[in-house]
Amino acid sequence: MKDTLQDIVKHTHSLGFIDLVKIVGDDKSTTIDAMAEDRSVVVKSELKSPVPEFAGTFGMPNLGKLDILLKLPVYKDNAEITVNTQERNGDTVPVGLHFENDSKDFKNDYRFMNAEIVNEKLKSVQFRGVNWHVTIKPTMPDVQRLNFQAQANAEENVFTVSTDGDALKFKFGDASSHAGEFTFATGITGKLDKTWAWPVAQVTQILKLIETNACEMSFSDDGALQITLDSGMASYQYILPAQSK
Amino acid sequence: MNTNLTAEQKDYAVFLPAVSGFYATFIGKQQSTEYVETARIPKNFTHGVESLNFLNPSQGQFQYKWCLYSAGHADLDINRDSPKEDMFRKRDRSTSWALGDSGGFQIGKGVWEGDWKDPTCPKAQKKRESVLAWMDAYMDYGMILDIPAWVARSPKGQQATGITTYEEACQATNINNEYFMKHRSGACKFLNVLQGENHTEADDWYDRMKKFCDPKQYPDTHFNGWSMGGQNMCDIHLVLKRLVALRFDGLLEKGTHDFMHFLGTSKLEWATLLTDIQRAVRKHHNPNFTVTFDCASPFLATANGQVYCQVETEDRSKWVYRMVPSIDDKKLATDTTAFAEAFVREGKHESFLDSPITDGLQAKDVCIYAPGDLNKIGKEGKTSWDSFSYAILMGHNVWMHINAVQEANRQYDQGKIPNMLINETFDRIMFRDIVEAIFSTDDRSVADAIIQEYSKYWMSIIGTRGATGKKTVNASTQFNNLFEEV
Repeated sequence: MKDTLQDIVKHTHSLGFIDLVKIVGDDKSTTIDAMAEDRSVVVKSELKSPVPEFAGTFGMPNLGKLDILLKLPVYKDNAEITVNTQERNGDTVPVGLHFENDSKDFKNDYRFMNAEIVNEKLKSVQFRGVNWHVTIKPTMPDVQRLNFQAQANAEENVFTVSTDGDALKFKFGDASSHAGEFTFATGITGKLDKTWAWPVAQVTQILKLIETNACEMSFSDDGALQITLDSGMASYQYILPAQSK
Repeated sequence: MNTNLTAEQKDYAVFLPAVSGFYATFIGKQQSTEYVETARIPKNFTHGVESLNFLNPSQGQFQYKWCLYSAGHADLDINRDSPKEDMFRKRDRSTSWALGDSGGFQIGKGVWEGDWKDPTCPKAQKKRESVLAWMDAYMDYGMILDIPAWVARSPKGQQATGITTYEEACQATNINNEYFMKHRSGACKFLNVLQGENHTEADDWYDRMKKFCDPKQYPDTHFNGWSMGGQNMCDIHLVLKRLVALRFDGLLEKGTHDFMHFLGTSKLEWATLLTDIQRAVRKHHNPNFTVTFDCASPFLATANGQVYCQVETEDRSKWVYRMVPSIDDKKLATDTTAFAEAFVREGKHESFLDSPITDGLQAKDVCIYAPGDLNKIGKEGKTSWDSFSYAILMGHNVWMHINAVQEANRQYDQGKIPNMLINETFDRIMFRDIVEAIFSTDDRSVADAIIQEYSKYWMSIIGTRGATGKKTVNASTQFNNLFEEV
């Protein structure tokens, strides 16, 4: 349980722009949905091994608090984390997590958000789908180079992506400002005809997780970027709508 | 101190104080009854309460002929005597000019309930009829009854109006427009309100609604100008794109589409940039073109106990009209010190710029209640102000705001520049020069290219609300294209 929760928090809250996830589960699957408040990132995920206790629909709010609880040294070893349930309208639904240390003298309860409220606050969205024109598997050095440019162009909120032959190029700024450009990947197949802009902070935060995840990035001329991270416990899809005026 | 602000207006974009119903009530009611007792009226008010009526050129303490008044808080029954409305109902139309706001905001907020997307809904229809009749009866220009695109994000608005999407907001606005066109008397000229929360939506809204201003499609009933709402009113990139589109679509023509209004615009820098735009369009395309912009800040500030005290227009800095909490102290109830002097003495601010309203006003004229005095409802409140204190300071704040707008323009004309309108990071880029270049060309593609070239610069010109600054670039357009709510 703890590993699963840590994995969820790491791939959502730790990015800095998500504080609520919606869990929908049954005995066959456990899915996770989240969205940045400014709609810059939509997260969809499914755990590889469903958590049977996560049956139903509920929200995990205040993920910062859950993050703290999971990191408390007192819960590091042999802590027990259980799902609290209640009977509601004849169904048994998860309502929170109960933390208890090894010696049973240190406890915390973390409350879930009920289905009605989480459905209001985090409306389910369906991706209409696009054609992915370029797909790459970025490496740590690629991400490092992206971070260098992001640092050097800290005033830029977005960067643009284009193809040049078999090279995928990222560009910061333009002729009216300081600017920077670098080749993010080579040997690509496919071509981008439109130069869309993508949010620097969100992309770099997601790509930071590449250290512990298998990663794939797909770009579409239809104005979508998808980053897929496989943590081993779950596959997380981050879909970013392009930024525009 | 300028008292005739109409004369001082010159060729600047015209600020319209969005007159509050509270303020108008004092002026209107006093015209037929002793709503405010004579003894309560400050001695410096040479024409009693009417001294606050800036639309009255002979009796106002200062004169300014332009303003905005909203149907949203007016008595719309034109067949019923309503003294509180008389500031507008009985104004001299030859010496004043009023723009009527339609109440689209009230619809958006869910105050005016009805199924606005259903042309047969009796509640919506009644409001539609009464707003149009009110506009035709009392306003020189009026806004059409638009349903703002943001209603789709307003839970109260959604519930009260039945409108849940941008598409439905467009449909409902269309219904209102058709009705206004068919039934308008011609006495009031109408501004076609442009909405949209980003460039894509704003472009779409314009494409759908521009026909209502087209004399070719509606030779006798077309609307008479434009009003910029939503992202259109706060994003200068979008403003310039739209103006170029209007020009080349033949919808910014002399004598036909002479007015463009910017809703809820309070940034002082915008007073000068809108003048730049007005001048450029007048010079190169439509000599009658007039930009107006409104805000309710002078009234809202007073309601929050704030009073304007200073205008700041330092070269290459942020330009502001400064407002701070006013004096409000029961121990001043017998203090005959000049209001300005008492304000400084009490440590509210280091200086106070007098207006024709406060010139001669005493501290006790505002701080009316002494310790132990009971207010109108027979209780001793915390404040020393009575309701007329608010009206007095609203009058002062109105003068200050108009004067600030005009002073900003005067300083701008003398070479001082607000920081927002100049960029000297690499080259010297001045807003007025770019605007001149955009409108001096007769080639639309050249004008569009200039606007696009300065796409980043436009983000440094911050608007009053909406997505401004760097937030003008965001995910909203593509999110709407890529996802649907299920």
